[in-house]
Amino acid sequence: MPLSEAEITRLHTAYAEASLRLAWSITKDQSLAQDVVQEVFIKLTRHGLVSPDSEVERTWLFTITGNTALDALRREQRRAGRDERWSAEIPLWFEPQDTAGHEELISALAALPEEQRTAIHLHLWEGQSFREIAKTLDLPTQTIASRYRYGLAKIRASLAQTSPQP
Amino acid sequence: MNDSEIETALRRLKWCTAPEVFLERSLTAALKEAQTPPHRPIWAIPTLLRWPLVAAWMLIAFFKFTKPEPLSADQRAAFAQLPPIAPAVLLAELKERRERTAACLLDLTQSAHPSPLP
Repeated sequence: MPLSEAEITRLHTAYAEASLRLAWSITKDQSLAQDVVQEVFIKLTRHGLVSPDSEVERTWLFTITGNTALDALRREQRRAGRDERWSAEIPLWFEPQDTAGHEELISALAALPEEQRTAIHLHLWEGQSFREIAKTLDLPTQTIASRYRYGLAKIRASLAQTSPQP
Repeated sequence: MNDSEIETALRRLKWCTAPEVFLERSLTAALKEAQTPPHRPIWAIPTLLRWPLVAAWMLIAFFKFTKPEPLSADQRAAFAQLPPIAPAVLLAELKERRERTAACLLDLTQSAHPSPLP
């Protein structure tokens, strides 16, 4: 059932930023992430996905955003044949800070495989539990927990490499 | 650094806010999409037309599979030699010939084996 203007506006106000953050985290490309969010909200509008439960809505939104972002990323990589450039790109998605190791931390996060970065993103910045992430990505909870742990371990290793202890 | 320190450091990172221009454009696109009529795929057939179309397709399939095989050249040549005569007349003539043949056969058998009775 198509949505009313008020419902679309409510969904957009509530979830557009979160959707953009996730799409950005997956694609590591601002313009591609923006295209993804636009496509996500057109899909939401077309299919009328609303629920009285906001957690269900969030899960739907993250699921659609994740799938759309992955499709867009693969399409773009296939089209441009630039896997190397993509994986080496350092996204500027966080506000600049003066704290030591800020850039290294962002670089380490950006260098993670997409699935580990997505698990970390949904857990740390979107406040989802491992169980909720598992539901969103349609994967076992143990897999999500493993991806999260491996992701943190890689960041730790990366930071140790860039700033070795004396 | 242990895991909790890394988690804390990551949590301290602040995401850039989404550009206002983009948010407005995205919302406008979604609202515009809501106003446009739903896209009907080319294969979507209106309900009223479905059964008549199915019937038509079945008829076409029936005639396609039950169509007689074309005549061979020999058959066509043989038919071409037939006199130009209407089928009904031809049938009547055949019937008459059959009756005449039967009558001749009867005469012949009676003359070959005459009855002993006077």
